[in-house]
Amino acid sequence: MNYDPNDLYGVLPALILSAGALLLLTSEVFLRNVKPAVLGPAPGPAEEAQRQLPPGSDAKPQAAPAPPDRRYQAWVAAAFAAAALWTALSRLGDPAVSLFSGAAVSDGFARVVAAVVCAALLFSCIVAFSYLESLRATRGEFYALALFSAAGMCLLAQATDLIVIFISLEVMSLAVYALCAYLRRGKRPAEAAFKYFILGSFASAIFLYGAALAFGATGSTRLADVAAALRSGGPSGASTLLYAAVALLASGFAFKVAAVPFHMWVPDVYDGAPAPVTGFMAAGVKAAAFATLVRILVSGFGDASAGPRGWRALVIWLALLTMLFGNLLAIPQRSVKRMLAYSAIAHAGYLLVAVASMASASPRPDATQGLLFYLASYAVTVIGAFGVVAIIERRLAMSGVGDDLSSWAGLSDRHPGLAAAMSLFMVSLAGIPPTAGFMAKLTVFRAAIEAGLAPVAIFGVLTSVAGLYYYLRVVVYVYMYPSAKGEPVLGGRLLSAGLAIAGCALIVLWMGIQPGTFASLTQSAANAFGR
Amino acid sequence: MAYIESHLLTLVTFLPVLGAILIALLPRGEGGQHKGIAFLFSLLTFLLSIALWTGFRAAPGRYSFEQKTEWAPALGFSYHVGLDGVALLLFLLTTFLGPIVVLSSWKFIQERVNVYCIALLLLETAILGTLASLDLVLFYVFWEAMLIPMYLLIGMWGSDRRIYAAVKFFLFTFIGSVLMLLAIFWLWSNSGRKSFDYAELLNAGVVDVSTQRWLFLAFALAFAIKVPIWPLHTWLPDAHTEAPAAGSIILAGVMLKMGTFGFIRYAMPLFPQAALAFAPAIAVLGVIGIVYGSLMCMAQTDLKRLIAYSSVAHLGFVMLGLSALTPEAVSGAVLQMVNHGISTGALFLMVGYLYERTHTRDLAAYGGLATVAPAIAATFLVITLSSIGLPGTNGFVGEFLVLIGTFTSRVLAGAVPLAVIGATGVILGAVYMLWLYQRVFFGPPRKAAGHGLQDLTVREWFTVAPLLLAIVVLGIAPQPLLSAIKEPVDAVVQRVSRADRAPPVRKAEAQP
Amino acid sequence: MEVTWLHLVPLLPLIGAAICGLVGKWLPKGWVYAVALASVLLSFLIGLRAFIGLGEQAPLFHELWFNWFSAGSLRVDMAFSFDRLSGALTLVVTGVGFLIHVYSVGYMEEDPGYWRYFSYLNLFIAAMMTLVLGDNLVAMFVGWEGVGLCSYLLIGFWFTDEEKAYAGRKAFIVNRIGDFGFLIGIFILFNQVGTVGIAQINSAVLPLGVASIAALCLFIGATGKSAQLPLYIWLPDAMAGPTPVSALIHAATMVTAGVYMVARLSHLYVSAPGVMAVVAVVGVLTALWSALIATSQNDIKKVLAYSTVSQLGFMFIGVGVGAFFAGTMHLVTHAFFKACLFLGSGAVIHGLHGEQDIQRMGGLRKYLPSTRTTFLVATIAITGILPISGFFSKDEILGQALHTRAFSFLTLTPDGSTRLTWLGPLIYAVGSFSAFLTSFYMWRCYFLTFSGEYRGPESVHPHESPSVMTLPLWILAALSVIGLVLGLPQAWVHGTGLQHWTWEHFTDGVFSRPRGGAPEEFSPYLGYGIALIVGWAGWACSYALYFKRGLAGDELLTARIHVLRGALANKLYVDELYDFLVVRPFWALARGLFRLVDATLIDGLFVNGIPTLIAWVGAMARRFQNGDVQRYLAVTALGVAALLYVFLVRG
Repeated sequence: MNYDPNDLYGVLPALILSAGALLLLTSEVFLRNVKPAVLGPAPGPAEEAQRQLPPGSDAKPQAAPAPPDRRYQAWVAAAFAAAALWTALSRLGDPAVSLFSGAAVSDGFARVVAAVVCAALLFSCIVAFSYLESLRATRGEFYALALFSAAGMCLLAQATDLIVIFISLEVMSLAVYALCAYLRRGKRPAEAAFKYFILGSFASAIFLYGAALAFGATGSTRLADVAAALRSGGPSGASTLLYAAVALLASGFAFKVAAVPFHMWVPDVYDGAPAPVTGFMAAGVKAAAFATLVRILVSGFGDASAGPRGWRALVIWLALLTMLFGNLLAIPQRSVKRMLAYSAIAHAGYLLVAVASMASASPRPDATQGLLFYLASYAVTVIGAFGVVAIIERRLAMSGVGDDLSSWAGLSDRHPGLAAAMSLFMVSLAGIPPTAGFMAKLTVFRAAIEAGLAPVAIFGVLTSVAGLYYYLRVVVYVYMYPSAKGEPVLGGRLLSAGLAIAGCALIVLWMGIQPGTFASLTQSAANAFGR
Repeated sequence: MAYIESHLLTLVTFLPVLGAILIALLPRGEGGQHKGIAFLFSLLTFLLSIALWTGFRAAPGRYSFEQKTEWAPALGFSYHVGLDGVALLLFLLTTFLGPIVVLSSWKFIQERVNVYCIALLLLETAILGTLASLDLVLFYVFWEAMLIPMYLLIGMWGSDRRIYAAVKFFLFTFIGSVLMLLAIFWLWSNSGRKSFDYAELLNAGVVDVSTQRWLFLAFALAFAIKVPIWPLHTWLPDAHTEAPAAGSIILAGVMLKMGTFGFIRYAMPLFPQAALAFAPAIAVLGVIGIVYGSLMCMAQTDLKRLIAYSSVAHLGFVMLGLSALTPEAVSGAVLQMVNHGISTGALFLMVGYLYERTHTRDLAAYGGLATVAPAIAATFLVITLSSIGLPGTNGFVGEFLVLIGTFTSRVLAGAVPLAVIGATGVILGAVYMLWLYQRVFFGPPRKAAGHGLQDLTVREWFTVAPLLLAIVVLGIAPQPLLSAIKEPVDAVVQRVSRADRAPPVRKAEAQP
Repeated sequence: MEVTWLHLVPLLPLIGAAICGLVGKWLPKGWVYAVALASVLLSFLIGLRAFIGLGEQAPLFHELWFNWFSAGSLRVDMAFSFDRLSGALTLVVTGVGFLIHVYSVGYMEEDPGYWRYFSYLNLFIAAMMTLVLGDNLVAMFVGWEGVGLCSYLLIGFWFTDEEKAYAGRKAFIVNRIGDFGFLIGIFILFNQVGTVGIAQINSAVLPLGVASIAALCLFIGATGKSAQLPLYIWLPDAMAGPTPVSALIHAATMVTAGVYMVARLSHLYVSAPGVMAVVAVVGVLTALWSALIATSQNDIKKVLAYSTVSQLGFMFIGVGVGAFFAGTMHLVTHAFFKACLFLGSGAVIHGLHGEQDIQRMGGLRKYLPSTRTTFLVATIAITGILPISGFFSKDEILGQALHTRAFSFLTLTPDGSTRLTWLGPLIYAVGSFSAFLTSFYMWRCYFLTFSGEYRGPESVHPHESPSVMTLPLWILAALSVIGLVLGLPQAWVHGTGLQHWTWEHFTDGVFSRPRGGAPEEFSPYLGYGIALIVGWAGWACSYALYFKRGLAGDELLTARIHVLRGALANKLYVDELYDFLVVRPFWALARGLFRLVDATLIDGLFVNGIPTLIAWVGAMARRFQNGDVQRYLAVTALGVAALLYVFLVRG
């Protein structure tokens, strides 16, 4: 297997991220008194924190020397993320180049996705920083794992070979599993991670099987070859095999993007994982998974989209189910985190509409653009939202209260900034102008109409009305209910998280008021699948 | 100076936002300052908007103060604003009510004043933008942007069932508008040129009739809910009843007109044949609104609810006029929009003042206020008269034009009976409004009038006087308004009433 | 002839009203009086000047003040026309109005709300003048509604009394019902003629059907404003207002607006003979109906109120049978003597400190001499026992009714013989009987009030009113005598100077003639004879009953016709009937609809029902999400299986 070393430039973001991860890991070595880092008791509030930990905590409140100061790690990670982001953005307009003899590609599409992932990572790191610090839970692996998973995501977006896709998928997933379990305190994180792991490997297996079938049907794992085979021979002979392959590959990623009926893991995992991780998952994993799904379906099986057995119909069905149940299930939730989990499912549905409207060998740019715009806007919004959730959750972890809407009551009195930001994110998720969410819905549904999917679009907007209900409910609690008596005010270290949240809020507004800028950024990406 | 000239409209539209930003930057909790700034900016907006009135030049097919700049070329929409006569009137109405609204809540709103002022100012900009925009996406953005601030106004400063009312209001209006959004996309992709620009779409000609009907329905639903047209009206009483006075004033004063404005600006001209086909249905619903709304008023025991239902009746007149498709009726309808804004806005203002004093909306508690508060009684009387359309007040001309125009309509099927039934609204209006007036102001002083009820203060006079003035002046000299709206009204009447005789329509071209 | 000063006639009182209303509260009392009276007097003088100028200078003065509004093909101007009819009306309204203003100065002496009162009164004059002078139906409608407003305000002037406030509201709403008809009439005419100008309408040729419907709708308006069957019910209650108001608005001027309107649109009405018949019949029925009720009322103002309704009925007979001049003449004379009667009753009430029940009056002739004399003159005028104004005008109407040809137009059968010729005579007969009743109840009222002994409580010491109140009485009494000139038959005054002053001659050419042609010349003597007999008969009956006995007369009557009189005393239960048939069901309907449609159907079923349903489904589906990883696996596997099935086996 020979390749041109210059190809490495093509995967520069992934390389940078991996490098960062390695650096952080090695840095651990040079820290003094490295001991199995547990929640060492700190003077003052931490004492409180210890006593009010949920039952089943494995933290031993024994007196131990304070753990080494790892605050630098967050900033290192952020720096690498920023660097990767910059590389991704800087080469946005460049022509697409095929890497490693067709195993991967570096095109606008991949770069935009990489940019989204890196941005997500950047913000998540900052949010995580204050979160972990205030819980005294900073440990070496965290940021390294985050960087690794991000690297996996970037590769995933670039991979054009089913094998490579699988490898990157695992790179990403394993890191994320670990991140979910990161907060070892309490059963729920562990349980969540375990579930995620089991179901995830199941999905990977399905994907692998699909890949095998595809190989059987077309004699190659390179998407390009697959496409060529389709076009030349047509799906005639191996059609059943082929469609089976499509179905399996699709379901593999339907799991990752949390499409109904492959969504069951989402609520538990999102709920169990620490809020910053959840945010990163929702933003990054979704982006990468959708990018790959589109890659496989469009540039691999683009010619197998039409017809009753084509994947267009399949995706449409998934979309309808996902939009319906995602919103429906979110309505009764009283835990904001779980609500956001279901809303993540619902948004997967809207994104699937975009995928469906891309269904053709050479999709119209506006559909691709819609997908990218939606991914980006959803990423910033959801990270911001989980940033706020992280702050609330942190307080809850301290005061040992379960996450419930009631704990959001009257937030606007105590923290007008947070309240405003959270409401903004909710409004954006609901898709109301002038926010990114609206412009995202606009691009996606316009593409759908253009692709002649009017009924799907109508169904979509109607479900989004149902969605409005539970998003508004957060605003209701934040602004319209008086704050409950005797609530503990938030601890300090709001600053960095506040920065991240403010950043997300600004981007959400910017993408809502000045969408043209981002849209033009994605121009070249939009044509990625043209032929 | 030339810059000001060319950007005047944008300037006026976004001036309130500046105020909002300024307030947001101020420290919390200094009520006076926040309200002061809000008042200052709304007043400034009004003063500037006068320049719009003086500088307005009606020209067929053109818009005054037109301004078109790139917004998001990559997404295919632009920042395109301009005013025709109809939009101008509602625009001025909005800016006119702005300062009044701020002043009206000076005393009543005491907590979270900064949020309140910000919401008010943002709301004003949203409304102004909705009126000014000539690009469908721009329009939709402003249209939806109206919801959030109003939602907060109702939900944060409303009374007991405020949250129910707020959510109801939001969901109702949202359901309607999302379908309109899809219809807009459909236009974009099928109107020949991939454009959201209103003027272009208008010139692009009409898509085939069967599609028109669906698109019209999608638009009409959004607007009908806002108006509101029976039977989509039930959000209105709740919203009005629970909202603070300022909210009710804006809601009744201008926000409902966004619906009727939408009909005359978008739904009817864009889909003339469908509009023509649906005109009788809408007219019938309008008449139902008139009669039914009036009957509902008679069944209320809550002051604000009653007035809210009266809005249903009044806007029934507007819808009847719009669907009659004669110049008289349509100009009457537009005039009625303005008049209703003034008179019902004023009614809610006065009711707000009463509520501040008595802390009850229950009619049974009122009575004999005329003895303790003659000034309130007198002003309320004038407003009542304008609301029941007494000649000499602004209320008459609009209703009269609507009815006579409908009666003489050759386009609308069953125009005569509709006009006759609609005219009964003249009687019913008197029945419930005078009943209300007697209940509140006549007779021996009752509970509410008990604890030494204060008459209008100077500040309150400042809010009421302009409205009274407007009521009388527009009643005596409505002609300038009618001349201003003549051109667009004739245009829409031409376009729609002749739709069936239009040249063969271009079929929507097939998907690429 | 186009002039520029005509608008002053309504404008001056309007300004007066504005001043009194806005700043009157703070002005010294005298100033308010000055403003109010001066404004009316000025517009009277302007009217007078114009009236004198009318003959030689031009047949009519016209002024286009300003274009009120115009849209599409509709153009509505604020324009006034001053011809012989409207001119005479102007003089009557402003003149009588001025007298009543003067009278009110005394009457409202103690009332703190006097400034409000005078403001309303001035506003009324302004509105009434707009009504009279308006040269198009919309301008007329402005006045039409304006006077309605003023009557609402003035009836409910003492608003702390629920009863009075209610009476005001009732008046306004009943009037609005009429106005509804008026509006529809305007619509029809505009739809047909393409304009709302009265002149154009009167010169237009209208198909019978359209003309009939339009005329009928407008007449509905007239029945509202002029208190005819079935909409007369508001007028008796309107007596809740201050008495001068009753005199001015509810006797002399406003209530005659309907008659004026019909006369104004004479062309329209003669082209719709069927409606003429309706008008006449409604008129005569009203005349009889309310005359009957009036015989059994004990509130002096109620008696006069019903008498007004009855007299208005006579006027409508006049215009209905095509004798527009007769109807309008009665309008004028009635304005004089009825105003005099009301003011007289006002003086009585004032003198008895608010007592209105004639059962507690009597023998007042020695306490209130001048009131009594003027009241007597006016009573003679209305009952027509002596040939002064009322006698002539009323008899003219009846005579014309007897000989009318107004209806023959539509009753001409193919063979040339005519049906419906009995209608005129019938109207005459019933009308004469009503005249008899009129005489009867008016004299009853007079006797019970002024003759016999004082029956009131000792505490009350009746006293004559100040001269500021009696002076108008005398003037009005004089006018009701002089008014006879208007009614002198042509035969008597032919060639004399008086000829120009008879109403028939004066208004010659203002009205159009009925289709059937005017009745041929008939000698009035027979009619006069009958009229005199009728009048005296009425006098005789009530003299016999009441002059000596006083109240015992009523008991005597009650003993004879107990049931009937009980019903009459209760106004024939009309109010109760309406309440039962219209008012209650209507409000019940409103409440029912609200509960059923809004609360239950729309809100209950849809608005709140659907979200509840969705939430329920969501909760159900949520049950499934129970954290059991096996189940999750199963679902995922099933999902894959389903996909494979759908896209391979079935697809």
